[in-house]
Amino acid sequence: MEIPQNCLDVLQNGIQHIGSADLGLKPSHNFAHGSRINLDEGTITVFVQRAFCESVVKNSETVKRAVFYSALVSHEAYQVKGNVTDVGPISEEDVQASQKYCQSIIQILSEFGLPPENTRKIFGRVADTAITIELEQIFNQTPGPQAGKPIS
Amino acid sequence: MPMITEQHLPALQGLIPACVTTCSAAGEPNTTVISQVWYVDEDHVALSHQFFNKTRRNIAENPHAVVMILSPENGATFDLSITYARTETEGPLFDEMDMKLEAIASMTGMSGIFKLLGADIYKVDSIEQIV
Repeated sequence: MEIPQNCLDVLQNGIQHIGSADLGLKPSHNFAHGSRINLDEGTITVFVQRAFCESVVKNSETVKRAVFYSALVSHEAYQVKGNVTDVGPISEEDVQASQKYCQSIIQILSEFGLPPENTRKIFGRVADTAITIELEQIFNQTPGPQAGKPIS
Repeated sequence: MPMITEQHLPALQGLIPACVTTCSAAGEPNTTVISQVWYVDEDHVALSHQFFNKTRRNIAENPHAVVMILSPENGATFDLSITYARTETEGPLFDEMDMKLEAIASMTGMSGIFKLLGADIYKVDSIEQIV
């Protein structure tokens, strides 16, 4: 899948959520703590803290289907849907990337008036789990006429 | 016992967008962000129906959703498990949501794009504080 650069930028740098549902169709979601796009593999690896995202991690391990949503404060947003190919411990390199991402989000949100002492409760957590999702479908979620349409 | 209490109200002021996740009958989850979750009464909230069509289609198939709200005052974050009840397309709640949405749209450069089609009312089944 060819992914436009602006979409890649949003997926990696936006405020990120990961969602899932259990076998009873009960949805779950939470903030993600960064991501790594693996273009060669056609996947995205999402960093989460297992204890913080317990239901999402469990659903990812059992149902093996997940969504990843990322939005900039400008409202530009994209959503990835796909099968989960792996759930496992995060690498040290990805921990570093996750912490860098979280620091940037705390900074961005502070510029919008959200005190760092509040946002650190979410983004001050250390990711310990990596959920890898196939880049099966990517949807434009930016409000407007293109919202909900696949990017390719 | 009421579901929504005073501690949840700051997170329902609409200062921070809310994340909504639904699931189709086929088990496909969908996540999106909406401008605001409105307080209706101590057991109900309203979501604005604008253009998030996949959310609406999912709700028609499976009325259960989760919505995450965040208090700008202290960072408290709550996950509300909700079930779709009805849609209002006129009346005081609809008018209030329409006005607020237009204000949000003009503040964020989205005038003409944010348009309220309906006020979707949901029953709050449970609330979990996650932060």
